[in-house]
Amino acid sequence: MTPTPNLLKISNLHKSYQAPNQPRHWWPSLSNTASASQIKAINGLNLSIAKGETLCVVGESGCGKSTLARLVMGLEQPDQGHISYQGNNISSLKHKQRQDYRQRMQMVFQDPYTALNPRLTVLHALVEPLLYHQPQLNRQNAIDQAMAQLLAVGIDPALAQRFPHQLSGGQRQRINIARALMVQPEFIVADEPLSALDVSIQAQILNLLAQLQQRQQLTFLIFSHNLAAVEHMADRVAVMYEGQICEIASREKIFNHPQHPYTKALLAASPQIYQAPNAHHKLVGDVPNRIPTQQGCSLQDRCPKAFETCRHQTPKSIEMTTGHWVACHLVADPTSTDPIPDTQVKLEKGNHHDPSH
Amino acid sequence: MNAAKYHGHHVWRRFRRQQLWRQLKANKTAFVSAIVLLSLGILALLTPWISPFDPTNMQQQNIMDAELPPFWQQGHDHRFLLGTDGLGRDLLSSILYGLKNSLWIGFWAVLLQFTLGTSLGLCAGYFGGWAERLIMSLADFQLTFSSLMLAILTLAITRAAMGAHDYHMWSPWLLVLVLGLADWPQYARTLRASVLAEKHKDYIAAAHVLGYRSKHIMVFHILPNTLSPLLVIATLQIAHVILAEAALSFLDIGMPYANPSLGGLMGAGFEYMFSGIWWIALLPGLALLTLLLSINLVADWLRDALDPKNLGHRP
Amino acid sequence: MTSPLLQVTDLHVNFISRWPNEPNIDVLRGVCFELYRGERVALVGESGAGKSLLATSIIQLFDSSARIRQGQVTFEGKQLTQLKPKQLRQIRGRRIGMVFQDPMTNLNPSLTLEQQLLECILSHRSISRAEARLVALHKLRQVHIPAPEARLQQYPHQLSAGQRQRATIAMALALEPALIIADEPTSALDVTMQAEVMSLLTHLCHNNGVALLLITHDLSLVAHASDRCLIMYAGKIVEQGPTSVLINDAQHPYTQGLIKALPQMSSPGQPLFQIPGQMPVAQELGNHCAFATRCEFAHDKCWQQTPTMPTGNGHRASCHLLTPAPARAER
Repeated sequence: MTPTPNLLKISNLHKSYQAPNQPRHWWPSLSNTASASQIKAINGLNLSIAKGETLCVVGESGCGKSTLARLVMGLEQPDQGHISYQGNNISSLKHKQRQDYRQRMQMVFQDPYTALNPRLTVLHALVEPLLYHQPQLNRQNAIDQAMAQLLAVGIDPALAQRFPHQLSGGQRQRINIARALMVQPEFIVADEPLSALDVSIQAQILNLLAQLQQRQQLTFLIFSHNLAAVEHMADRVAVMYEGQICEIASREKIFNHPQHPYTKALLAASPQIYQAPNAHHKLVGDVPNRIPTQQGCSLQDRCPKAFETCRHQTPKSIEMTTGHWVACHLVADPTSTDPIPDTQVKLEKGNHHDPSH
Repeated sequence: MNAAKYHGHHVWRRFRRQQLWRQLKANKTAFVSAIVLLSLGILALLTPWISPFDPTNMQQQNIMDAELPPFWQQGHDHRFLLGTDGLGRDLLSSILYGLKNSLWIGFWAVLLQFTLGTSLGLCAGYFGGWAERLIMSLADFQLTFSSLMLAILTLAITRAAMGAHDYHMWSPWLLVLVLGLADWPQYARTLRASVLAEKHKDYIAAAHVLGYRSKHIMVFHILPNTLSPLLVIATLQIAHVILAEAALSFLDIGMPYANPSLGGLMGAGFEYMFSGIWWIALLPGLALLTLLLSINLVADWLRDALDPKNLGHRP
Repeated sequence: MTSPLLQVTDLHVNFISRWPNEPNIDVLRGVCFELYRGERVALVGESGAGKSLLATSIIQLFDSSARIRQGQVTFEGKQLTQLKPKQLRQIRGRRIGMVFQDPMTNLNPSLTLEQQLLECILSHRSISRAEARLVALHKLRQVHIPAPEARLQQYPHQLSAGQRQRATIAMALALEPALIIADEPTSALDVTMQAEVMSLLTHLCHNNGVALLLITHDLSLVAHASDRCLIMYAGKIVEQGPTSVLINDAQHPYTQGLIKALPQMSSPGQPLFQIPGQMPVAQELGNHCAFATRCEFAHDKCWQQTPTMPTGNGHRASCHLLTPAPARAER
């Protein structure tokens, strides 16, 4: 069986930002201290997505999800590395050359309210992309297509003349999805599409996405920290922390046989309705303030199982079983020497540990 | 139909749904002010036809008719309802023409300021980088000088260079130019701040992702959502420009005596105040006050009324 | 039977309409519940059900044109609806603490933590500044904020979202209130932070004997963090009872729908159960069950009469399906 071709491939991606509240001079900086005020949002990331699959990237705030989404969509340029779409390198394209790809790759944003222009009606928001790319259409034709799209996402066409502030969160998110679909894309990036919605509405949106994928053979890249939804929707799951992928595998393997300590902690923290919370895999401390030049594994300050090697060497991503890649020293070599004292002590100490210096 | 035309069509429909008339009726102050403003505007427009005399025409003036009081005082002449000025010119006609000139200058000067300030502010905010630095430096530079002082300086020099006769012929345009160029930085600075805030919102990112060009995004997405404070500034500026022009005319470097403005009339009539001939300065002053007050009240109401959140309370 | 700490009876809250001829429609339509000392009660409902409005109505901290039309709120024996603003202020903060949703905006960005905590403590207790500072430190330690002495001098933007939320909890606890109302305290937080904050809240409530009213839209979040659960729909409480009983044996079709809609309840790849339609807005409600438009079991009676909540103490729901048909008289 021939493997499904890769639609999107990300290799060795790096992206840094100037830390906020740093003085900015208009003269070029001659010293190296400038780099100390940089925040490394993406730190050597590799990922590939096959056509027709749903890849969910799971991670918490600060891990670089939004940056990655913006890099993939071409809203920002990476410092290093490539992003290729169907074999063509798109990360270094200028605006004009990117236009071809704009129609093939679309995005759904996190906050359904700010993602809509507050001064446009629902209908207008949908008609605009159509008329922009196909000005030869007449107005009625465009309106008919927009109405059809509204029905396809489950919105009553009577709502077409409403403004975003007159709609509920779930309805707004549907409009966002409809707008993305107006240009007939084949690849959709969704940056936390469910976070701003109630649990009962999340079910509706998840069903809608699944339905659309089946009907239109879409490929999805979904960023989320809602593990329950991810378990339901994903074909493959990648776990992201501090700008790197720590573990990636099929859904079944991630949820039933997680390897990386961070994955285990996330799964343990995810609220379950019938099972009591599991404090066994707790992480200590808070998400750190992203010191970029720190050596070693990015999880070293919070991992209950960290040991010496973790402080010095960045773990490489190793394929444990087919399609299951993990970047962790402990997983790579379970018999590592120099383990730290037992977990309880670390947990206790960790509560008074200040991670931000 | 292209996307830009559809935007135009949409703006019209949205404007109709705003139910401005209903909102205007609901707010008594704004309603009265709007009526007053509208009446003043109509009067100004119809001035050439309804004015009893023509104050620009020296032939119509007779020095024997000078300093006649308004109709409610003893000694008035029934031809001159509001009295006459020091040279026998009918005050009512002068006020009407003055109103027309003041509104004309106010409108064009503000249009100039608005267009210049908005385009520069939009570019500065959207593109950032060297364009932003350049435009903002220019704006800051200009703001360090008092606009009135600059105006006085410029106009005085121009008048000296052109000679009084030519200057009076060109003064409406010169005033529009000078007052228009004086205050564009306000718009630019305000707009740049709003654009910076709006630029980072998701719907702008969505517009980029949908493949719209920068110009399209700037004009159809960012500008409409940042226009509200600018409209407030523009309406307040109409009053400010009219007042500035009044000050300049008072100082005799604005509109000439022959083609009066309200400020010029006040200036010319000022010296008569102390001899008890109060109507020459005060009546144009009252007209000016009414005009400015009604503009400000309507502007205040308009800003709230145009908020898109006011749409849709009634199906 | 001890008297409840908080008792809400037949509370109706409406908004003053913008247009003069429009009637004012009730958004909260007769809410009744009780909360006992030391109890953790979860108030669960979708956006628009009126949960946040209920929370702000209890302490009367309305942010728009809402007002209490009818009903009573009794706290520690006092009728809050009858109190003067000055008396209400003494209860807010001192006896009832509140934790809001957004960790970005619920702390004043231009004051340090110390200034905010001290302001909170000193406005209700007349103790010295040094003593208040010790109290503040103690509270920060209780919420597990690392290096509290250093943190006191920091501004909110220097803390992470999780720490900010914990600082807010510390502020709510500062005066040792009898009740804490937490309005979606973890919605803006990540999964691991969420778990931490939830366990912190429940732990603190157990240790300090503080009652907790937790407002959320996520039933799975409160499944193990509350003793009792109130399900709210369209301005009314439709089901209430001990959480474990409610989750395992939900009576009201809405609660059943909420549980079935959770992704964990469907196998991957299968469509999730979704409750069809939308919650009706206040204008669409009348003398019928508000859930009838979306309920798969709706029948004639549901459209003719609003169901009532049975009296009692245990697990109960207001649904016509549950009221037994009246016995027919034997002829």
